[in-house]
Amino acid sequence: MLKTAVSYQTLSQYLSEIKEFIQEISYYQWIVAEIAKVDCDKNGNYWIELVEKKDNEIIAQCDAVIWRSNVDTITNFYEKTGIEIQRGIKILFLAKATFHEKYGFKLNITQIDPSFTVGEMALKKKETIERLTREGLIDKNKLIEIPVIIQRIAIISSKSAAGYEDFLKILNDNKYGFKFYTKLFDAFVQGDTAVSSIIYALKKCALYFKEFDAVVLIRGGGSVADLAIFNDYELAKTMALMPIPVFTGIGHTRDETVVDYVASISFKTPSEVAKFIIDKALDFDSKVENLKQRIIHKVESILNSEISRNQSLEQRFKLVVKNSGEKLSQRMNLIISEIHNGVLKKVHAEKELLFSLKQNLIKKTHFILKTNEVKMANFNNRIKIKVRENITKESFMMKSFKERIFTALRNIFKLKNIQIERLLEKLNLLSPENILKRGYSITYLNGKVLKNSKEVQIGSKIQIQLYRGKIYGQVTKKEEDYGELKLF
Amino acid sequence: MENLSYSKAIKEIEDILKYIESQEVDVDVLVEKVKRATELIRFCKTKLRVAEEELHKTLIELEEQNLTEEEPF
Repeated sequence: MLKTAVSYQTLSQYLSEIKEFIQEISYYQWIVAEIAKVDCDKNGNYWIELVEKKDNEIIAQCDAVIWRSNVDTITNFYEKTGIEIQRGIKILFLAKATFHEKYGFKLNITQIDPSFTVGEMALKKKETIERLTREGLIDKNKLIEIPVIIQRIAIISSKSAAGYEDFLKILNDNKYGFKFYTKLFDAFVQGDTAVSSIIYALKKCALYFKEFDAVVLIRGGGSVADLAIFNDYELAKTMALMPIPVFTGIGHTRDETVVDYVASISFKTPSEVAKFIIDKALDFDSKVENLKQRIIHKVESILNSEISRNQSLEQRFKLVVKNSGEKLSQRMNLIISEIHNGVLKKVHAEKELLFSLKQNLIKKTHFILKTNEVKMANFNNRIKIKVRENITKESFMMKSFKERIFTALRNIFKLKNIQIERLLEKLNLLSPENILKRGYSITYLNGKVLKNSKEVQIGSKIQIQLYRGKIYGQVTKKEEDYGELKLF
Repeated sequence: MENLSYSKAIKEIEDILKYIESQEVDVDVLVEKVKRATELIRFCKTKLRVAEEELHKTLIELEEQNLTEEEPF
């Protein structure tokens, strides 16, 4: 069985043959590819992943290396393009296929052509700028009038960016004492999220645009590599549509980015933005100062001419007065003194008149007051007398009334006494005692007064009351009486 | 001072200067104009250099609003 055994090789033997084969046929060739990944190892070798895309689909892919010995080409590339070898950029490079038993297939890059990438980027940038121009966005922000004074500033930057610090320092340390108000809209200015982060910050800032005079987009201090984000179409568009002017100071040394094209004004560094803002304020301030000086000057000259005109008038007046001679002066003096005297007289007369009027008024017032006082006193007295008279009269009348009442009462009492005495006499005459005294007697039957003989029976015991003493008897005979009472 | 912008203020100052430079000015009118110009100049110079309470307040308010907003990333 093993007779027909095939000849075989070990893997290393085979791969070694392949290696030789590849080395034999491979040659240095200029190749274009996009970088998908770059790593630099501790020895200074660059390990790169290369891709080729078509409609965003990867159609080819392989690893490449730049040995430390060829690292000069990377430095050169950075110097020419201003960017580092990084993900996303397209490069033209000179390379040869290599194969290693252990490490596999790799392209060995010995040279990168910076001008290709520059051109590539420029092309892309050009396209973006053309698109923005087509859409009327490129000058949109430039058309917004820049305020005379930029005092309220919205800053889009990273809090940690050195450029931000520089900007604030220059702005706030200005020697003219200008006051600026800044508000940071924090954003990432480098890295994968930078574009969306800056767009978000711009949009947020736009919400409060009335609070600001301008927006300042600053970076500075970071690596130069990330400038590509400022060529982004969406970012440029958002900036173009800002309602207030946007100034850029993203710290580049070479070509402007798309964002710089769109900006109201672009500056190389954040410090230059700050200087511009201060200069603008200074310009304004000097203009105001200049106007102030001109106004002062003008006012002074107007006042001076006014004064000199007044002075010359005075001079001329003096001359005329002098020329008109003493006469005029004397006459004037005379007139003046006459007027003076007249006025004095008049004043004096008026004064006297006033004085006498015043005296009169005082006198009159006094007199009226006095008269009224006397009148009042009179009234008072008369009232007092009248009252007193009335009281006396009344009390007198009261007295006589009293007396008359007493007399009347006394008389009434006397009369009544006499009547009572008379009645007493009558009463005495009528009393049974007096009747008995005169010889009459009273007969009682069983304790009752007997008035009729009919009421008594023969044999009944009777009592007879006399004036003095009583008699007890028995009826023996009786007579009845029917007619009139006949006592005797 | 009324709600005035820098550009309006400087325009008015310029107009005043033009007015008093261009014609015979009555002293009374001059006094009025100069008074107004002084006000405007003071406005410009002061506003540039003195912190405005109102502005500070607005910016602080913005600051607070931002704190409550969430990050989109």
